[in-house]
Amino acid sequence: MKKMKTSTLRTLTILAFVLLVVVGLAFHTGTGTISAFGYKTISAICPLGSIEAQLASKTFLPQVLISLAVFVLITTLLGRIFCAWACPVPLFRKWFPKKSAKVNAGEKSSALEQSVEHTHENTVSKTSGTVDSSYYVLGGALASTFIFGFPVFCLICPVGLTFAVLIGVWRLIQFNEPTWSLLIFPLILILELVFYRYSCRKFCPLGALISLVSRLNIFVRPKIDQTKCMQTSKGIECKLCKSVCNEAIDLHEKAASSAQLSRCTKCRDCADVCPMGAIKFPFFRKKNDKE
Amino acid sequence: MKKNELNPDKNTIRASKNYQRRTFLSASAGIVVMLGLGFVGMKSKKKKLLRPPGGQDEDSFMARCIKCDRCRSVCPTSVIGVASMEDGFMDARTPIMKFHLGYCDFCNKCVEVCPTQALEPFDKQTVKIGIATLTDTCIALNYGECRLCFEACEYKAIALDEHKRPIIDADKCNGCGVCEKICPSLVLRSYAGGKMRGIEVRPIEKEVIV
Repeated sequence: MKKMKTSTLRTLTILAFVLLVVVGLAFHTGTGTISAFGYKTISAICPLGSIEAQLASKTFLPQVLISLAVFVLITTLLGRIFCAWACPVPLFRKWFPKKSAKVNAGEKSSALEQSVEHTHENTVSKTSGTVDSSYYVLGGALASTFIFGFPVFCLICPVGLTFAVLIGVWRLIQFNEPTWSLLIFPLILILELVFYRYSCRKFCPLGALISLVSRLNIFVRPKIDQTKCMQTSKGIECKLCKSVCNEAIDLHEKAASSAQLSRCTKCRDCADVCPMGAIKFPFFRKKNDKE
Repeated sequence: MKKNELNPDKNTIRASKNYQRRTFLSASAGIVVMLGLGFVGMKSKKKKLLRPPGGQDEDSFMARCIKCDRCRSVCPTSVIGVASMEDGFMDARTPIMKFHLGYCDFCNKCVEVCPTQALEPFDKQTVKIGIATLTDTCIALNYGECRLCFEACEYKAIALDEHKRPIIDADKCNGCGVCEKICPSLVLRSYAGGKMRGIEVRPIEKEVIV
């Protein structure tokens, strides 16, 4: 029941942003898409887009500083909340299931066995100390933008493409404007999600940028109650929380480092899947929690 | 579990190497895709497009536009549309002027909402979106008697010659597009004979404004 609640809630908040775009399409509100929502001269511009625009034009744009500051503030307070609660990609990520962990609410026990089978894979991930590839993609995107003089990632940004499809369909109906874009944009989206099965973690440079800033985030971080968790209290191997996590964060690891937790999108999937209800998202950390 | 972490067995080491290799592969694939996209984007042939006012410096426009859709959304006359794949891979999703749907009254709202100044503040007196040009389907050229564009032009950029054919004054025309919007030629037979109207605003080939 509870699981339904959070994921439904998330779907609703994402749809609220989509609705805002539709309002902008129906009326001349100028609200824009999630790339730069705004009212009149104020806009919450995409941090990656604004950095790209400045790199590409080799100019400094003072007006984006305010929205960059707000972005840093929100990310410091709430971490990568954008990725789970506002970005439309998680809506259709469900159609591209993960390889190892297909966890359904009704099949907790079988999923539990499955997760035990995958212990090896699980042990591996972060202990090797490799940095996720999305940071390199971010570097590549910024370098390419600087060299070639236009915002390169915006071309294939899954967020931008999603709304482009929405706008395209709208204009097809309103103005009878058929275009190849309506086939090509979804195709690029599908390619991104297929080739980078975990594209939010491995590919998305926007997610990488937010994660970098999210290292400042100390609030609302997931926390395991050691006395409730099956693995820490009873020694029963259970990796449900990790297998359900899109960022493959292992909360059991003592060294669940700040860098790793900064990738948390606060989607609460782990809290919902935990059979013992051991995971909480307290706003403040208790003092003795600090490593 | 803990044993594994302290003394990784062969499987773990192999899996760890696999993980590193996969990360390396997807990282390099990502970088190559980004650089490739940039290169292809820069090299791809560019069609001159009609931009909203303030976006006439194409290079600086393309450097800054993040395709956020705010200008299109705010436009009160709906003249701002979206470029599609057909206009170029780079240009898809950028704003372009669709004078079949509206015309520009230089209200400045698109410039106001542009978050990156891809549309720069413009001088209403000198800005030129494009220049109107007569086409083969102009009714006045073919049959005479039509003077709708002449009557509609606020800037007195269209005059009539002795045969009552429109003549466009390129200096006075600022490409507002009201002539194209109002032109009745081929409007009612859009699919049979193409969609070209008798007068069209076309992009300026040479950079006139600085």
